Amino acid sequence: EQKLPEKDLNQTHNEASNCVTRLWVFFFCFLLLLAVVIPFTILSDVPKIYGSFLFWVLFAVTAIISIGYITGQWRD
Amino acid sequence: MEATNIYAAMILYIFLGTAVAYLSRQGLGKGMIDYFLADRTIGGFVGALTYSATTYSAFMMVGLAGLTFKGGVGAMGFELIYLSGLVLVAFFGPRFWLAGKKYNFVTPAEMLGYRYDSRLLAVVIAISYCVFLIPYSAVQLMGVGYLVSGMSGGTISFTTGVILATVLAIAWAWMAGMRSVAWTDSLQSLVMIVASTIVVFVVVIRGLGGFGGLVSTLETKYPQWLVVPGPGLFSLKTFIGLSLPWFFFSITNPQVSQRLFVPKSMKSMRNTVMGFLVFGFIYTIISILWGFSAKALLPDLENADLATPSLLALPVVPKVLALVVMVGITAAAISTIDSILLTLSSVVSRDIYGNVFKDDRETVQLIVGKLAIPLIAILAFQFAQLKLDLIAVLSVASSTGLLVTVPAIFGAFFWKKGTAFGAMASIIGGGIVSVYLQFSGLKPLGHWPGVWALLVAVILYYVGSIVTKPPVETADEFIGYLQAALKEKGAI
Repeated sequence: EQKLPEKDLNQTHNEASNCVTRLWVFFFCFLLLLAVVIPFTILSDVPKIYGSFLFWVLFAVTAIISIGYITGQWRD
Repeated sequence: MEATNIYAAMILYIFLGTAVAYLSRQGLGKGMIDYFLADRTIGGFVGALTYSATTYSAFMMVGLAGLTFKGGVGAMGFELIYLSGLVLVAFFGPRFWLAGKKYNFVTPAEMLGYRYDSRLLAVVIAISYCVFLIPYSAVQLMGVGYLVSGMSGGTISFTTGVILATVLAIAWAWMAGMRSVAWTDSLQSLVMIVASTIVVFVVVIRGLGGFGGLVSTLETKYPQWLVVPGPGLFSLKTFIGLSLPWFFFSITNPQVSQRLFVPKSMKSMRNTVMGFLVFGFIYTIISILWGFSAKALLPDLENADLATPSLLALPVVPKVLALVVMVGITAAAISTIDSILLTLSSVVSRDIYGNVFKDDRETVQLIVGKLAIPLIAILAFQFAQLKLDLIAVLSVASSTGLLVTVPAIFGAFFWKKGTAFGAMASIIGGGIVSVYLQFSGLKPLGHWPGVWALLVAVILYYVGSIVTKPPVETADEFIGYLQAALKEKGAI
């Protein structure tokens, strides 16, 4: 079995970490866009509690979980 | 409701709050950092509660409920988009905290002044904080005055309510600075959320036969209240105009962004953020359900601002519970006012007095800061007594007026070519656009003042920065230090 040099391992880890961060930022921006667009288009004809009300509740829960994920990376 | 009952409830509330504020004096040191930032030792639980109490004012159970009554579910959308704006703390929280610890910053204005190497910029930002937040505090004081006089049927005067709120805010802010504010905030936030949750359950169950009854009433009688634009209040442009300033609230409003300096560790900051998100989510849903209940039970109410007092006057609400809710709404207002008072007094002493008189002595700045607390409160009190339309306009403009600091804040951490001139041009230019549009009522192309003010601020910041010389050494050192420290802390 061959081991990668520590320098290469660190670089690979950093690149993976940056990639995850970029994906997360893209995901959150997309989530915000959906939070504005969907209720004003698809759901504007759904006058039910499972329409915009439920959609925004799910949006908030998703936002809270994703903020929890990214702040969960912090360390002292 | 009898005045004696209101006085009894208020006396109990004042006694409990003052006892908590007094007990918080234990361990109080003597410096600016100790007084205004609790020596950067606030834990996650108290941090979350003080952040929540500072952010959520009387607007939630009165204004947001009224907005729901009038405009439907769109009110929830814009409030939850504000909540998701806490994502900015995931980026800026660690940056504020790390920079605050290394450079001993007390206020966000001081941090920006250092980063752009300009004392004048710190003064300009400090003045803009005062211009927009003193009228905002005055409106909160007026809210307490109207609430107390309305609930007592005029037996307790508007002025008595305003004086009560002013004195409490001064006392609780002055007693031990951030320590007394944080601990009284914690008590008040619990009163706010417990009282409002109980009263919503009581009204929905006793007045509408349960949540099924509320939902079926809305779906059959008021279906437009469950969609946007709905009854017409929330057009897409209105929705964006309301949401944009609030999305950036966590970094633009100093009474909350200063709280990014106070956690004792990164773990405490994370707990503060997550605790606030859970609190905010619950409190938002409760306030929205309260507004929907008003629509279902009092559909013919002409003034949406009277939704809360009218609901509390219904026979289904026990008088004792109505009193507790009144105290909860008062607590929401006072916990916001005393936090703003404390932040503005630190800004006046550190950024205005310290820079104008070039006096960096901690002991003198602390004395100036403590003297500023009652002076700013009296100024807000005078504004509240005048009941001018001007105050309401400036208060509404506060979120937009502070939105123009966004380019300078982003640039401070991410753009080394940003300059003090660019930052000042964007804050002054954007602020003027914001106030002008707010006063004139103009909405060019149908967009709200916040959209235009931010656009102007971004352009002025960029143009102002590329035509002037950036403080290269300071920017390199400041951003370089943060990049290394963020990596070490696992922050993005």
